[in-house]
Amino acid sequence: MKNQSVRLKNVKHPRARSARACPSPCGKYSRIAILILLGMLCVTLSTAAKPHEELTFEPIHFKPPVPEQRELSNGMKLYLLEDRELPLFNINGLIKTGSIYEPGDKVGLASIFASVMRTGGTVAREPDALNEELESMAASVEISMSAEYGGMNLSTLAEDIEKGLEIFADVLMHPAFREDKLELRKQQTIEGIRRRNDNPIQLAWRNFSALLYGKTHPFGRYSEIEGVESITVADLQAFHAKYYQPDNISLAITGDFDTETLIAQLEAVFAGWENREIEFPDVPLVENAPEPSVNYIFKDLNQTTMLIGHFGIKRTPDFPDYFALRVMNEILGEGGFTSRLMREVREKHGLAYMVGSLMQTSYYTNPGEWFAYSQTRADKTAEAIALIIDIVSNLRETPVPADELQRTKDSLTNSFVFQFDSSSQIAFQQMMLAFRGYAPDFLETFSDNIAKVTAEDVRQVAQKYLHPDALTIVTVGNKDSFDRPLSEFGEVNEIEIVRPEPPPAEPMPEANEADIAKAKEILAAAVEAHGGIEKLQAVKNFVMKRQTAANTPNGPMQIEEILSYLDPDKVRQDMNIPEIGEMSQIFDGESAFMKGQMGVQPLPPEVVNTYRDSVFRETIGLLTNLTLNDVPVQYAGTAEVNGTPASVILVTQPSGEMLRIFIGEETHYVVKMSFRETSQGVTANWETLFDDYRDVDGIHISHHIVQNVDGELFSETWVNDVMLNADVDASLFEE
Amino acid sequence: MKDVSQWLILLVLVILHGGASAQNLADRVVEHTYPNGLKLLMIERHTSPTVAPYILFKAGSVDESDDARGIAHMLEHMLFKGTKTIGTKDYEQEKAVLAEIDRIGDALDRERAKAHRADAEKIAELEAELKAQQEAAKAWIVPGEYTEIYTQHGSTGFNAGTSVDYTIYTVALPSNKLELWAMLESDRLKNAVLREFYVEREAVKEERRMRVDTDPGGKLYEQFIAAAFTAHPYGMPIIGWPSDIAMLNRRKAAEFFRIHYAPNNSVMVIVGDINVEDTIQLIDKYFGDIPSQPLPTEVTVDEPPQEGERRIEVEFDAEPQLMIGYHKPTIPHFDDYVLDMISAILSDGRTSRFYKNIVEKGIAVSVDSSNGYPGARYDNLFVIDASPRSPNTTADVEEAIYAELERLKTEPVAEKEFKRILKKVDANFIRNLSSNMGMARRLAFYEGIAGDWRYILDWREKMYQITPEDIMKAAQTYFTKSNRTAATLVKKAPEVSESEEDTE
Repeated sequence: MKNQSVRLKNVKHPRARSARACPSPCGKYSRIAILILLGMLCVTLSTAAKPHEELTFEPIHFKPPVPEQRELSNGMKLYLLEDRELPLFNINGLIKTGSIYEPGDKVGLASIFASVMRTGGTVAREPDALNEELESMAASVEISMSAEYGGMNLSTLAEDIEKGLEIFADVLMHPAFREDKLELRKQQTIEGIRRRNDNPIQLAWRNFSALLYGKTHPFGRYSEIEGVESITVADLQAFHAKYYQPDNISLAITGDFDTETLIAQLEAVFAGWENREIEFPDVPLVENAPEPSVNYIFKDLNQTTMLIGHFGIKRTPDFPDYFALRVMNEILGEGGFTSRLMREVREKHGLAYMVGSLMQTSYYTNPGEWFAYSQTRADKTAEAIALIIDIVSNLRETPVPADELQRTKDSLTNSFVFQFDSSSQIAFQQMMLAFRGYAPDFLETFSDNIAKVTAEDVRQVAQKYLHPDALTIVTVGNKDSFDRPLSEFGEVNEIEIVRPEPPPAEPMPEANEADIAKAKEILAAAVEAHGGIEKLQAVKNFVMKRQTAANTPNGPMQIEEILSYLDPDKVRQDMNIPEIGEMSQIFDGESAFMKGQMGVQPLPPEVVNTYRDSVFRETIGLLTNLTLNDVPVQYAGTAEVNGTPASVILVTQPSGEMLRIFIGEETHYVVKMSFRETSQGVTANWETLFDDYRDVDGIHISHHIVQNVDGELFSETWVNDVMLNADVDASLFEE
Repeated sequence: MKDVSQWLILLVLVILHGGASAQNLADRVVEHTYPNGLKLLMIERHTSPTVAPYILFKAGSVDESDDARGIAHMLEHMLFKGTKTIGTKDYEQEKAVLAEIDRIGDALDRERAKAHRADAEKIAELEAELKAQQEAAKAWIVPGEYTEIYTQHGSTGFNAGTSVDYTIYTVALPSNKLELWAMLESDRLKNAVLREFYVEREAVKEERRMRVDTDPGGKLYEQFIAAAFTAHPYGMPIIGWPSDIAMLNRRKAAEFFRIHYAPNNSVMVIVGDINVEDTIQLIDKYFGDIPSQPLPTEVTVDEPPQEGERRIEVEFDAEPQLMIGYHKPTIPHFDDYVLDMISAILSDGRTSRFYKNIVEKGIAVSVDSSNGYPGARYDNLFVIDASPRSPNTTADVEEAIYAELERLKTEPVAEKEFKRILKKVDANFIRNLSSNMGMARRLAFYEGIAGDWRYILDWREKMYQITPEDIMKAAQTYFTKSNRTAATLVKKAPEVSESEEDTE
């Protein structure tokens, strides 16, 4: 459709940059409420009657439809609401899991998991095929993750319900978490980490939560490159196995369907999905609020972003102060244009466009946060902070005037009908209330409970839950332009923002002519020892039969392998792996892919880079390349390899990473290579040791190769047979 | 005025394969035009007792004069300040103070505009005077009353927005409050009082800082669009440049309001729990007596053909971003439809070409395309924006994007790709009907900007007519280097003096 580039100029709240930083709609589930009858409104204002006050309104008699609650034989809970207005079908599901349960050294795992659960395809469906199948019927299946629960969604036309359900169940039950999609998502997450200081709101929010909860708490921590890099396919599989089972899932189902038919279809697609006991990890409960603090983060901007707050309250099902607090929050800063923060800071003082407050009461494991936010010109920073604190304090001290209280209560009860604006909203809300353990009559009694709130109740909850003397203040901006120093609010803690970067490639040391000459001399001797440049140069391809014992993350493995190499940059490995079967990995000089029983799968760009390097390191080609081409090399002293002295030569690989070549001083053979490589998200130091050199058609080739990763034995390879310039067909390296 | 309403249920005869949903929409839209030119569109939906009334004025930032840039948006803010009865205790008394504030504010703006030649003492004096008058006005002002009434009556989504082309006013209400809406909205059209102007102008300056000065994407967009349009007002920021905002006043706002906020320059859409006949009467009662007036002239400036690539850098303390734009014709040129299709091929979903060939290949974290920036009343841009994934640079991403655009010129699009997009077009027809507010927005936009809401139906039909040759031809015509503007967000490099550079 045509792009409608309206820029809403009068928005109440900032665009959500991060799901948790969004100051408005996230509060949705904490302010759920109900009512059914909207009565006539009697307004009593002290001034003379205005025209709108003379209007009367017909009461609305509206009984919202009630979703039918059912349970599948496997324990999955259903909230069903048929709605035949349009030929559409929707499922919105909830699962008890969340980023709070991810390990502390792999922060980001849960959200990466959710993304790859969808993008990685299923065991039976390649990612491309899955996308193709869904989009060709204009349907979608999406998986999402937040702190305390996961989400799952299916949206199809009514005519495609059956197919849609089958795919939905396939994604939920049999995600494949393909390696290349994990790698892609990890790299995107890392890019997000690199970009996380671009936006002042995001920057302020991240630091505010970390200050409140501490950087190790699930609500205070955030992803770092190292932790993201360490996430493996096995981690995602384990997360799936642990939480994704039917009795941990609820589905809100709405649209043009027949309940009984649908239940039979659901039973069929989820058949055989079994439950196990889930042990939810303990989420530490923060007991003590942090010391009040004033924090400053430098960013050279003409407007200061400020967050001012402290812990909120832990939401329990029968929380007695809920309704008074709901009214108080509305008056203070959640009520949009009519809240006090908006009215005072923006409308009366012109100190902000965006200002308000939010109390997060939706956390079930922890107290959540209360905070006020504003973005104010730099030279009014202190004035705005002082004004905000003043407004908060005033709410504690002075009872709310009767008309303001009444207006707020009216607003809450009159807008309550919007909780029932669509069938999907009704069913989802019902499911969410049950998930959170709200009282069954919560919705029915909402309006009555709001009506009971008095000015004194509001003052009491303000005193109980707002603490202007215990504030954590975070400011992002340029203090050189502030109106007054922040120190008037307390001792200022300046937070240094470190730009997150992956470890850079090790640089080649400064070359001097003597080292360059020496390196060339050593290489020349090595070329001779391996058979001489003419013979090496004549090798256009080879085929090697090898046997490898490897220590993989999934345990030891014996691999039979045929390695085919075609000058200058094509390589193919045909492997036979016990219990897995035959598999080939191919690099055609441009791209890399895997061939197996599941068909052809492209390998991610990072693997392509490691292939490029590994082809560069192939001994025959490397010696030829270094001799014939003008590749910069340097001598870097000597080292011992297996007890014998060797010369060290440095050269840069295509990836930019440095390669150390160790050449035996007596044999002049290449006895070792060492280098750093980032593979599957992990940067590791590799060592390859070569011995058992044997003559093959006049060329000396190592027949025993040992690889160590970070000092640990990774693999040992024995070469059984080598054929030089064999009949290697170029088509071997095609898809 | 109270003539028998000439409303009718439209039966649009679109004979299309798979067009049941389009037919469904056509059947449900009820249209009514009042003698004063006001156009009302309605859809009855009784799924919940709520209603979403929506008003669009065909008055956006392109309609501003050079000495009042930013006034369309500023006026939109000011229309929340009340009327002669709402927001005031006694308008007759207040009026005198407001005039005084205008006088002092004008003098102050003129003095400040002298910049370094300004008389600081005089400014301080005027500021004190202004402050005193603003205090005096408080005796009569009831701040926030207009918005308060809506809130108290249970409104949600009470908002407004200004684009280059138009301004919209939205709200959702319990359906028994429709008359309240009609009364309040017509009151602000008949009796608006633009009080508290200078305080609101400060809030607008904060808005500009938030959206542009502190947001790397906002900053890049503003500079990009300014580079792409040299003559046409589409190149100007909606909110105005800082010095534009500094010179806005109540007189300019009132003038813009007088010229553009006419019933015959607006579209009203009401979707939800209504009875169409009652609603037609109700709107007549409140809006029927607003006189129609001659319409302002359209923008006559034509953006001259671009003769050579434009390339700009924007420095910001943030990671790199990229925007690319190509000039192209707007609605209802056939190529505009073709470019909508191209945008879907490039960036709609995980099967799209940008996603598969750029995002999945790891060159960028995001690449999007959209047809029709910054507006649709006049010829506009096809825009592509992207964020590279390190270590790829914006240059790498550009190369990958251009490779895809080249492919469009030379390779016919496969039937499978067409089919997938058309299926989505049809499904979106149905999905769009499921939200009152969303449907209201669509109908208002197409009625106001394309001149007829049936553009929605026509659009679908045109999508089905597009051939692979059309796509190749449009790509060849518009995606050329000389028709291109490219803007990149870069980090400020440390200053290097010329002499140092010379020695390198």
